[in-house]
Amino acid sequence: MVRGRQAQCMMRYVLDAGALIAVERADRRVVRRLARAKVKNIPIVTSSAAVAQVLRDPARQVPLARVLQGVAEAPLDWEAARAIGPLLARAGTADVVDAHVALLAHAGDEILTSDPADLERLTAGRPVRIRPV
Amino acid sequence: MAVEKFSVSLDPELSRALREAAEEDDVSVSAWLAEAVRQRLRNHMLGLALDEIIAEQGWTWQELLDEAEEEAEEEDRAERAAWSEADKRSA
Repeated sequence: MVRGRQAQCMMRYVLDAGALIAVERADRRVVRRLARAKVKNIPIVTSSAAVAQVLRDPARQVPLARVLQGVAEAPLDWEAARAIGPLLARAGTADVVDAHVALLAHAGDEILTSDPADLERLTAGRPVRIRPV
Repeated sequence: MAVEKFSVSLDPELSRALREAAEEDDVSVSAWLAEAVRQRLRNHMLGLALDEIIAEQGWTWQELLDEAEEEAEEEDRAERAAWSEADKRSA
């Protein structure tokens, strides 16, 4: 995990499960954002829980599996598990994976999501941009 | 965790900047470098994966990058307009 000044000034894309599905479908809106990330060295992160939702057969989902090699994956660990419940309660939503994605986003990050309404609620009051895909 | 030690050569200015950055981030030089290498490798792998998708779809990198840049500029304009509107309302 990168900390300190380096972490504070580096914008990242955070992908939810919907964005990963869009990658699998070669959705042009997502692919062009990833292309921008590639040339601008924008780090991309996602939740292992989102990967678990989407990656059912890596042998058949080759493009997605390859793209995931270029994505940092954050596990839903002890700390996250104890932060997600209170976040869901505050936001009035129920999706554990979306909540983990919201927790991964730092100030300045952009979340690529197929569920902008829930992610808006989960990141309310934080300087995080929501980009529908 | 098993580690492999090897030497790398850096010009003195880069080496000094690396040590300062690691200190500011409160991690060892090895940890700082390892994270930088991981990020660079991920970026490399992303490029290879996108090469395949883009070729398969019959797209080009340039047209996607042009669209992405236009989209980012549009989002910036919309954001600035929203801030400006919020400022007017709060004034």
